Amino acid sequence: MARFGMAIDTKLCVGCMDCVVACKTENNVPEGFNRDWITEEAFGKFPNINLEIRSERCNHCEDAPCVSSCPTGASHYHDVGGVVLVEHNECIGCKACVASCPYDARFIHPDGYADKCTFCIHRVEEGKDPACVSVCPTNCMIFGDLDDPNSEISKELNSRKHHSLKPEAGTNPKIFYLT
Amino acid sequence: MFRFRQPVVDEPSHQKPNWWIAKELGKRLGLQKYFPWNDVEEYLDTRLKSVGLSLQQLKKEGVVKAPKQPIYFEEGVQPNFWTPSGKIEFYSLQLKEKGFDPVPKFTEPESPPPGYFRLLMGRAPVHTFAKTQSNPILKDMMEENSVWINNDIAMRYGLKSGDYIKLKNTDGVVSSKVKVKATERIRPDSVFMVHGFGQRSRMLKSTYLKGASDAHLTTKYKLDPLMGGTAMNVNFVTFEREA
Amino acid sequence: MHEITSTRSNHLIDPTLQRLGMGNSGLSFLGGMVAGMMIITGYFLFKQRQDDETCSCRYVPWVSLVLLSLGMFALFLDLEHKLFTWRLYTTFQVTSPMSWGAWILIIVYPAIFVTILITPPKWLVEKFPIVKKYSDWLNERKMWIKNIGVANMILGAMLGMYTGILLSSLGARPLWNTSILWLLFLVSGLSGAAAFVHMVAKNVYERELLAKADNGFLTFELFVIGLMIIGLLTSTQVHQDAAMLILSGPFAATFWVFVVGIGIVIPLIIQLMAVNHKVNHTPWAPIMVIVGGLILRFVIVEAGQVSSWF
Repeated sequence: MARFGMAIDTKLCVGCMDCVVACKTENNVPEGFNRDWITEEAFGKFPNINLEIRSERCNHCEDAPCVSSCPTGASHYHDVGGVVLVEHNECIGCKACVASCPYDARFIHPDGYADKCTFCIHRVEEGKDPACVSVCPTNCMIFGDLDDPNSEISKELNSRKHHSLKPEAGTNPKIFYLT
Repeated sequence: MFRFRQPVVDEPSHQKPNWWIAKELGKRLGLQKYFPWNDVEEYLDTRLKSVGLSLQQLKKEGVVKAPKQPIYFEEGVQPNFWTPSGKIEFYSLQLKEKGFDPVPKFTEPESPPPGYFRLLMGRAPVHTFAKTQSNPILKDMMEENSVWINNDIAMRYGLKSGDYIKLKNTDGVVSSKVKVKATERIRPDSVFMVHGFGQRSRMLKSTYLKGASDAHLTTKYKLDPLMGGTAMNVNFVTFEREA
Repeated sequence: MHEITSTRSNHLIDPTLQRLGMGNSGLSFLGGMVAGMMIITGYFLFKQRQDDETCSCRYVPWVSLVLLSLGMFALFLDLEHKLFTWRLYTTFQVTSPMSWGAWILIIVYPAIFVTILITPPKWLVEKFPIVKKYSDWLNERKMWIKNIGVANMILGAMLGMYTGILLSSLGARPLWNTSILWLLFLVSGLSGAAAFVHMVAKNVYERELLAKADNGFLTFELFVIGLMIIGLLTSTQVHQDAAMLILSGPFAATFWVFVVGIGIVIPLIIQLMAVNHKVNHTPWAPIMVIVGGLILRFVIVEAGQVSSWF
């Protein structure tokens, strides 16, 4: 069983938002909404500043509160890679998942259903990388199978320091930031 | 590697292409001998001929790959610096002959007058110069620019991130309103803005007066006496509350 | 210094969540009121008071019915994908309080209908003579009526708890994510319902009993609020931040003035004086309690959406 995750090298990411453009065009994300976004986190006081730039999106948590809070089963773990997806025709738009996400990664699509990053599962199932990964000009994103010890992502995660976002929220996020 | 791009639609409303503007300017400056072409195809052909290709070939093949040539020192290039010695010259006899200091010295930029801040301008990765601001996807990602102000300065002036202010330069030019971004990521004596916003044409419906334009505030510039480069980050601005 | 900038600007998500609005607070309040009314009705049925012509168990179920339908309508209005609402009832998701709630609401309706059937109003009997038959059949079986009372109390309690658990299961919002929220909402619903029934009661026994009960509920509610704040303050940083939202933050004034002051303390004092016959019973105290209950839901729903994990 594959377990898809993503590693993003914060030492390479320059915050150019190409991933955002790629996502918007690939997935027809409606105007005014983002499935992925850039966060810039600065520590310190000028001139001693440390900056971390991250490309963020749904973390496809292994213990996803959006899945457990969904009253209809529309939010579910996909068979391929444990990707968290929303079945539009089962979603009633109750917003329990939106409120349950500690990352605020979800939004209500103007058509009424809950929407978010899908890891471009339609591309991944064809053997391609997600759109954001495929366009990154600095190649700072690695998408792959966390269960395969020989995958590029596993090797990176085993050899480099990394952190995930809000791990204390207890959702087991599957996006890791290499530092 | 050469790639060939062809226009899909004609330019709307008699807009003029870059090569034409350059040629017409050249004409008026009496430099027409440098602009021998009469249309874009002749222009491209002239340029391609200089590297041993032709437009005809590019049209036929679409992409022409030339053999890789080393360009880096690591790749075995013997650098040639077009100096009399052929080396990087820290002490330049050429400069001395022309009456300049042979070892150019750093001159401290002037400090802004009290209450003013040096206006720095730059780019955001989202937008290309001032021409993509109305692209719907890019506009969605970055609709307006903001003026970066050092946290301590912002606090002193009672400004918070998200407040709207106007900027006024030393020549009295006032910008359109622009959002404050109070941050530690800038020097206390300078403010920063992304270029390309605050567009003043009403025809640009989606970008009209969104953010402020650094270009309008750039009423002064400085010339490098050595090589003639223009420096534009030499203007000082102060804050005006958005009334 | 710690400075975070995000380029995300999702409608109603950024800068703070505003996704759960009037519909949710409204449903929560109405659900709580209905829950309290069902428990009170159930108690009177259990006490076999249905034969008393003035018993509140004869008319309060009608109020419950109206309020519950209003609440359901508010919930429906709050759904964004309305055409697919039926999906709620093609499945049961054991981990989803929303799913539990949908099904609880469905079984609450028959319970209220059966309660009405015990003492059907005249016009209903005249229009549908068959109602009389069932009603008589029910009234011959006193144990059944007792059990319907118990069912009312259990379902009412479930409904009241549901309004709280719905929010407290959302771990991403630290203010809600407290295991005592269901108790706060249940007791707030109970006090609101007790105040309402007290206000409309037609006999002295019920009026006095409910005033005393309401005093108990209000006192208990004060304790629960205190315990909830202690629980939050002694938990992690995000929970402490969440507590500060109602202790000193933007919601503090509304919370302490309207919810605690006007909603609990002042009516409690008035009603304590009333049950000791120092002052007459007036509708003022009950109205304050009900309004306080409504504002409690609004404050908790709104403040909860502001609280988050850093």
